[in-house]
Amino acid sequence: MAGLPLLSVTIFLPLVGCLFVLMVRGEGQTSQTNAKTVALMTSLATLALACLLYAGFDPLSSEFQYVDEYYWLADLHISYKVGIDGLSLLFILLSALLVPISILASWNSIQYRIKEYMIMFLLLETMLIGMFSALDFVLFYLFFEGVLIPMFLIIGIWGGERRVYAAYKFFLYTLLGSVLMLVAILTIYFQTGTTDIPTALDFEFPQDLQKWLWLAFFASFAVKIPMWPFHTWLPDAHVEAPTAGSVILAGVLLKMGGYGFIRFSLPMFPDACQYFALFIYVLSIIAIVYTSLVALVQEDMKKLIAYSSVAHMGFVTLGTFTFESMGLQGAIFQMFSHGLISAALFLCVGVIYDREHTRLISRFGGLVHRMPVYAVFFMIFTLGSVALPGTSGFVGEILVLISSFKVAWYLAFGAGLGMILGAAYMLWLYRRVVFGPIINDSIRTIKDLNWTEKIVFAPLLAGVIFFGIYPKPVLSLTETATANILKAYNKSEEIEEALVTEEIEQSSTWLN
Amino acid sequence: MVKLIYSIWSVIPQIIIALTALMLLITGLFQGKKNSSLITYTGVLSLLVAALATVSKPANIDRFGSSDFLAQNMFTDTMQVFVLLITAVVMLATHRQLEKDEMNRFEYPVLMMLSVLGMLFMMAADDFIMFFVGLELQSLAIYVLVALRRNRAMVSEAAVKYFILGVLATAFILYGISLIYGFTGSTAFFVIRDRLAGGMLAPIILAMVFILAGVAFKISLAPFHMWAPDVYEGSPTVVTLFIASAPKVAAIVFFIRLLYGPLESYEEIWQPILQMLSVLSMVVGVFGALFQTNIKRLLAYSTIANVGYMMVGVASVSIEGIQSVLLYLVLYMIMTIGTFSFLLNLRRNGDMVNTIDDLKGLSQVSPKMALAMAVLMFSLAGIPPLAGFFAKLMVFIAAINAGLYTLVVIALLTTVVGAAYYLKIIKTMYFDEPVATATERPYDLNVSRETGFIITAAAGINVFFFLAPGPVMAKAWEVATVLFER
Repeated sequence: MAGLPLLSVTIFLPLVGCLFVLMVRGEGQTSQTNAKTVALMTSLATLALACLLYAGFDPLSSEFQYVDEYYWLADLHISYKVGIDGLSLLFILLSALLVPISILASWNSIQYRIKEYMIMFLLLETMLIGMFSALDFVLFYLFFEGVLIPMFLIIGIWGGERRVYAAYKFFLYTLLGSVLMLVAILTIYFQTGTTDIPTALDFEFPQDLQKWLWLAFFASFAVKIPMWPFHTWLPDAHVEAPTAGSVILAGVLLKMGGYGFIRFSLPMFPDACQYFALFIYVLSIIAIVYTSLVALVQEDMKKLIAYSSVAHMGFVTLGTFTFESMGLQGAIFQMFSHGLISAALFLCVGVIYDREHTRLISRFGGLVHRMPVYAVFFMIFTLGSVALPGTSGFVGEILVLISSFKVAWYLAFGAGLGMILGAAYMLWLYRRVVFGPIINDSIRTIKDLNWTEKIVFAPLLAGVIFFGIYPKPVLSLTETATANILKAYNKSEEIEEALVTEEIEQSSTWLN
Repeated sequence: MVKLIYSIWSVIPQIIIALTALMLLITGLFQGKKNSSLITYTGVLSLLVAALATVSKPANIDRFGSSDFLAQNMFTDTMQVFVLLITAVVMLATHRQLEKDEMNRFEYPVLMMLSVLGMLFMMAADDFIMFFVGLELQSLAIYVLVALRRNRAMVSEAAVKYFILGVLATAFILYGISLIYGFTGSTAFFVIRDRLAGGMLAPIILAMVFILAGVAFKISLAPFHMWAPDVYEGSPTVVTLFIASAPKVAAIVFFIRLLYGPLESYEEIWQPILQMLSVLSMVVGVFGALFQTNIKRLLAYSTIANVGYMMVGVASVSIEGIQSVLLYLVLYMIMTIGTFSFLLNLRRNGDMVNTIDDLKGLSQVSPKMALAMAVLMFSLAGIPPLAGFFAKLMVFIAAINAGLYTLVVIALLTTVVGAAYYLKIIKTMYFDEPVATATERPYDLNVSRETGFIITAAAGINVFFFLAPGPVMAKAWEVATVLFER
């Protein structure tokens, strides 16, 4: 394996898969099955490569690993440069896990233009993995924006009734945020003379400029993650997207925003981050409490889960801007866990939508009588979303909660309130859908999970419970990366401490 | 004697084009009114030979053969080759479409060649007289081209509108030139540059404004863009394709040479004017395009916006700026030619497809064409990793380096609005169901071999540009530096 650029191969393998899917000839059932099989095999191979990356990764090193660098636009000092640290690797693993799950989940539910559908997902996978490993701003932006093309088409072609509206809103909303980030990237380029990310991470930007750059990055990431009040595209996109589209959207796309904050905003603009911290706290708490309340009154299951995503992402932004190792670790863990849980919840909705062709909560009830296995799966994921101890949802939220308590008690109070509301809307949803009498006649003949669906749920279930009980693998993977990212803050604290000791010494000499 | 030979050699491309055009005119008269493959292919061949002749000129030709009338440097040569190649491609793309459009006359390729001849002189002009002759030859040939199918009301309207406004613009330019002549006593660029270097003169500023307005008309820069949507819509698509390609390049090249040549000492006057025009163009272009239902009108507004983006690069006044404009120009031409070739091939009941709604469900009827068009649209919208993104990126890098932050922010915001209408075309092709009645096929899709190749190549270049942008960028840089060597 020596000499093989493993990371680049992982990034572009799905793209090669696209070509193979494209080459599948013929009409009818056989070619469709072939296209699906090729796509699934490619994504599984990518997952295997991602695991290889994990196996060869040294979590203690603070350097970027698997770095590949090639000349690209040499005159402008823009190069193709990729490399990963623990943070990137975690999200690469998450993406590589969720894409095969999405493909498997759409095995029977997508009826038309299957070849194109598979190509879109593989394209998406390349963009996502590329984005998480890019070490050059232009390359990063390329992947970051490139995601829009396949996602726009996925929502628009295979989506629900108002798919055109949702696809437009998704595309233009995110594009508007991203172009402002592009201005910031160009300014950074102008300042540092290169688009190399590691160089920019160590660069000290002037204070005034930091604020502007921070705001420009914020415009992009706040839309992507999404923070209140920039979240309005999310419910629409989720409701209209096909199930697998929602899985990727909630599972990975939202993490692009959080990843951006942690990778760029925190280390590059420490002064601006502290300046705007209160602003972020306020938005986060509003997101947690307000969107939880909104989720409580939703009638559409997908919309409810979409709003719950916004609330959960509130924890992420809150944790990120505590500038503490614990809060940051919590935020990262929360993103990872939300990737598993929300993906699973959207799949749960997808399962009954495929059978009943409705997502209205009022049309369901009493599913436990007909679908006991489904009820168990759904329950565990619901409890994960509620952050019950023992599930992965708990670890992230408790870390963020403790860390925010250190900043200010009212932050923890707001976040805690959000957790209670979260329990309320999720458990109420579960009660209405799964328990109670069967009110709808068509549910009397509904079938329980088939084997494909069980296979789809199994890895997610295992992840939610395993990382809930034993979160260490994830936390130790990201430990060095977080320490690295928070370097700038500890430095300023050290300086402050030094100043304080100096003052004390001075005053003591004065006293003497 | 040596000097004479070199002098002739330096205009060999022009001579080739002129002689072939006249020869084809006579051949056409003898063979009857119809256009024929013979005429088109001879025309294409002569354009390619002319391009080859430009490339293979001896390097030291300007030392011997330089005249006061024509510049001979790498900038003009490269742009000449570019224009010649574009025209050859356009001629190939339109060849088999003429018949369907009742435009199958031998004058079509001949007029195109005469227009190109004008462009060659205009781009390389080192003297206002030379420039003016070139400009007129170029424009007159196009006026006739637009009017070729004069029995349709819309075509006549477009032709008259184009002609009258075009002549007005020419009059502006001519007035400006005469003012400059009056104050400097010369029409030669190098003399004017030297004499203007001393200080600012109010009448010269006035003259400059007149000339800028006239050229802005030719490249459809807002607020001198009014003609573009009507002419684009009214002309037969075979002609629209031509109007949208080579003449735009020629006018932009001349614009750059004018500003960076004789008028360079007036930079602090024209730079803000250019910024203003650029903002206006971008805004007018994207908002104008937003509510269009006719594709050709939409593309006209899109051109207006794109010329606005190019002017951001010109306003940067740096090698990077010019480099980015040249890159933008090349990529934009590829997209334009691809898009129009697509339109040329799409007919319904024998008529050209005109409204966006006609594209409904195209992805199901003809997946390949729809894919190519979708790639071109995403690229025009500037979405990475397609080529259009790099074009915009380079322009913005140059502008940021020049400190034009406001301009860049406005430009970026307009790209978001712009994305909306490009997406509308993709949406119509991919998200909507095809409308087909029982009796007729929804489209008669008979893509000719030439256009099929051109569309595929255009889409392919846009997709794969990101793999190796280096050589094109390096060439653009090399060419751009010529303007700053003095």
